[in-house]
Amino acid sequence: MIDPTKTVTGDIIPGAAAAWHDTEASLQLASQWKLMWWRFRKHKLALVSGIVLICIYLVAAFVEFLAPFSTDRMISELAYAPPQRLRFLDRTEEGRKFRLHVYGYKYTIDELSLEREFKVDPDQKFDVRFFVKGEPYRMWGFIRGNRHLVGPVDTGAPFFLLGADRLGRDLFSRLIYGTRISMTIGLVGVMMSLILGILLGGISGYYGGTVDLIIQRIMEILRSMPTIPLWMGLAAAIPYYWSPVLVYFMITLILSVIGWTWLAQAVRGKFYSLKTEDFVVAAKLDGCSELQVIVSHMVPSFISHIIATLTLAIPQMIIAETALSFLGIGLKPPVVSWGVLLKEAQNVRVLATSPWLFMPGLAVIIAVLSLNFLGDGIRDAADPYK
Amino acid sequence: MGKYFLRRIFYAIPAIIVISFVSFLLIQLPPGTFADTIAAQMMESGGVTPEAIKAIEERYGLNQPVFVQYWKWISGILLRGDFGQSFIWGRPVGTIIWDRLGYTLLLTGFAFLFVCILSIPIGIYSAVKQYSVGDYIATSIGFLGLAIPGFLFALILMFIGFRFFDQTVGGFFSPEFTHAPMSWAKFADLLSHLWMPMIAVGMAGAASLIRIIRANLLDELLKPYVVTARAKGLSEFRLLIKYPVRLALIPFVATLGWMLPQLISGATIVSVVMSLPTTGPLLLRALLGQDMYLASSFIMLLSVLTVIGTLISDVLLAIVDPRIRFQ
Amino acid sequence: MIGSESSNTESSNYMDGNKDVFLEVKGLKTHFFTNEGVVKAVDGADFQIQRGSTVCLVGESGCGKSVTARAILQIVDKPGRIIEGEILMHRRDGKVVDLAKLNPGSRRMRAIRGKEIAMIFQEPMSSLSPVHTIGNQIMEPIHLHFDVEKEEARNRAIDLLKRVGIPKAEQRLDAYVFQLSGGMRQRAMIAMALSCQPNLLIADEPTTALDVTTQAIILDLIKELQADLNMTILFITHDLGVVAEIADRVVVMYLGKAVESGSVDAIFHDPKHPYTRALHRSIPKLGESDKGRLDTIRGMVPHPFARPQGCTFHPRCDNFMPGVCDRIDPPIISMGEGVDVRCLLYGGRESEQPASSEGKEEANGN
Repeated sequence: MIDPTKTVTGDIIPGAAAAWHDTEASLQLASQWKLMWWRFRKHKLALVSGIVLICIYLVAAFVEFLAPFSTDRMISELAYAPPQRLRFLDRTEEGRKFRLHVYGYKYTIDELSLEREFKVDPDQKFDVRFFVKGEPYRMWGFIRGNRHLVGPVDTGAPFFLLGADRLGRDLFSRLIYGTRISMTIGLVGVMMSLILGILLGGISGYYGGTVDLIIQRIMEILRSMPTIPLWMGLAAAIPYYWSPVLVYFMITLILSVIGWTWLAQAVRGKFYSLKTEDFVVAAKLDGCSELQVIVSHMVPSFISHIIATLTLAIPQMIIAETALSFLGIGLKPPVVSWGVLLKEAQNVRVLATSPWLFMPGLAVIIAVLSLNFLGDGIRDAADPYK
Repeated sequence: MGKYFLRRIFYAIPAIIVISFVSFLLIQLPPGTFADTIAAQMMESGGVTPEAIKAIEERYGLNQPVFVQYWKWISGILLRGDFGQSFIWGRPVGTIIWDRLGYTLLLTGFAFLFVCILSIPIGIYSAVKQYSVGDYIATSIGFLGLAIPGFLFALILMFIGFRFFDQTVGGFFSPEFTHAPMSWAKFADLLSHLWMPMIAVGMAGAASLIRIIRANLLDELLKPYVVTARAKGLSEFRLLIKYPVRLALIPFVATLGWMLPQLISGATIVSVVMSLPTTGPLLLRALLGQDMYLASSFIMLLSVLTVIGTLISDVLLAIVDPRIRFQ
Repeated sequence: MIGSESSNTESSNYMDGNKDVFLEVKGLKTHFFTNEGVVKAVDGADFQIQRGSTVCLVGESGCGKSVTARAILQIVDKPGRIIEGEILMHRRDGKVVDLAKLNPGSRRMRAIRGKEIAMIFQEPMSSLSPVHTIGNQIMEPIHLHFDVEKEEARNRAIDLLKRVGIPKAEQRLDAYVFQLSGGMRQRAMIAMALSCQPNLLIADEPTTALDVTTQAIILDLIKELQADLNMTILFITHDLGVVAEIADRVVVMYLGKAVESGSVDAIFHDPKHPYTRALHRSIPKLGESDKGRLDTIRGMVPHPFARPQGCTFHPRCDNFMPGVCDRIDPPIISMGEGVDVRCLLYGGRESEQPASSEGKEEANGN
């Protein structure tokens, strides 16, 4: 290795030794991942998105605790009730006092349209508390509990932080439950795409020749078919009598069957170009087996790129599931996902009078945006040529 | 050039064959057939006998093996232009799909125009004037299109239209123009209904293309041939358009081909949301009702449209980039 | 025969006589204003170019020769800017234009580029557009600067291609750059530069990217064209062998300053500046293989933000005079017979000005 403290002829360059040891030493020992992390840290937007996403996934994990109610709890007279404001101070004749509460509703029924018009009623006060005892649940299916992060002291009281839907169900709770389904379907789908994509893309790129040609043709054909009609066809094929869980997995399978082509294309491209790289040839000449060459030499050089591509594939999946459920051919009630929630907002008139029904759409936008920024940040950090 | 064109067509043919098969297969996937749907209907209106179901199956050829059914359908299309019969509407598929497809093409075409008109100037501007106000606006549009999927965008637009402009969406023409012959007034009416779905469908595509043009142009602006052009005495504007933009447009055209299936997809779903007379809503109904020939024909034709689109864009690419022609 | 001989053998002091001078560069400074600091790419370039002669700008990578060339045509990339100096172009009708004062984007400057002064570049593959035919690119400056019909422009282009030695010129006109070999591409670029019959041809390392055989061919071509058209050439290179072959005058640059300039004979047989001498020594010569190691110039080119005070070459100089060379920035000393040097060995100690603001501390101590 070249000694940066001396000239080619051996003369010592003054001051160079000290300067070298300070900065370069740490860089010399930094692994690929550390370097990536340092570059990633600079990308403020990606960092913020990363934090947002961690929060979203935390919500998805602790759904039962965070949601005030279960998904089917309803107060039918309060269908389409507008959101309530959480109030902190109670103004009574004695003065002001800290008391977490919400106001109730008073409604009048329009004679002609038979629609209800809601008005906030300051005379009805319902106490709200943190870590309140509420409906019992089983977190993740087995941990029993009945404490909720926030909720009304009286479990029958109206508490609609984001308003009520068509049947008088709390949108806030349903939104939280929907987070779990919507955010995980993306992950599962992407995993499946990953396996398919790496396998087929790798084979195609590494071996080339006729295998490559055939797989390429298949990918081309699949990619030239417009995805939504394809999804619609596949999704509509799911028998209506299958259980929600089975439907869930079928949907992710469908999404990944179309999605893998994108990943496979990327993997194939990388394998193709890496195959002829000098370091691969050197590894082979060194006597490494095929598997060794692939795993120890080729894969590390593009794994960061794969991670970035994956991160960018997840939002596609989320949008796809939302779209299908929105149309009514994806997940169906009683399963709750953001798409299922949005289906209620399909009617513009309904949306116009109850705009809070659009909240799941906002959730989709935030999640998709964060994932895209994160993916961009990872991709930029992983790019050795920037 | 001609050889290249012929080669591409040659490769497209097996693709179309496979697509037709896949489209047909798709509708066979759900358990049961149209006969069951009829049976369910008959159940409600009075009773159903096994013989009746058998008769329906015979009549529509539903009890034969898949390949036979497929062959009958394909040969019908190729030899007689007969796409089969729609079970739900009881009419030949041909009478239903063509104007629907026409409208889909119309919407997709306009969305495509929207994408080009929006993304090219904005992309160029934000690359040339990096970090300016215009660049930030462009980046923001980029994010909007990135994060908001077409159907959500459609919902938002409809909401804004309804709440603030008291405009409802539904169809492409106002009642007075629906059956009137084509005229400038009718065209203007069409445009006034078209702008919302056009933006909803095209936004995502426009957003990603702005980013692509910007990134590519930034790369090209640093290349040596730009300096050479300047050294010849060209003005900045002329050399911008003639050289780096021309080269940055090459990946743009390449992306266009891949964007076409996306636009058609988007058009499908946006039409459902906005109740437009295109293929989307009809396809949905056909799928849910297992209207075999109608659904398969739709899917196949939409895919064929995309294949043709990619073919056109490949040819465009060869025109724009001589390097492809000669290799 | 003009071109290979020095064209001003008996002229006296170069600096005052301007016998048929085409271009004069005086005190040119081009600095790059980056986020990390100011890079003084060209920090005092002075030389003259006589009509019909070939001047070579020589130096290591990073010495500022390319930037100097680009500054003449005002095509320095951002964030670079000419901040001081004059670039005087003497037209045949006697008018003198200071190119340094012209706005880079102005019509006047654009009228000069390609027409009165043309430039050819190092890598023809990337310096020419891959998606336009070479005919299109050659005819472009013709259409730009002259009002001619397409037919005539086309004919001129074909003539040019023939002139630079490209066979089957008519067909080649409609070919694309990637369809030609390396040597052909460079010839096409030369044709393009000559299309408007410029008074000065600036060649920015045109042979560096070529193999040795093609290099020789292109150099021959350039010499031939110069003889035929009585062209003035500013040739930029780092290859002393090329300089020996084609130069009439040589300007040696180091770290943005012209440290020595003189006729090619003077520079090669009697180099004055220690840097020039060191360059000389480092050329491997045939028959000296028994010497062992090749000579190098000790030390490294300093970082642009950490330039030495005083004479910028002093840390690497064999004739370093402590207390003098690290304090005073040497002025230009005229040595007679057209040779100029920037070295305190030959004078200039009287001008005790600190070279830059970093020199202020040194002026007090010591």
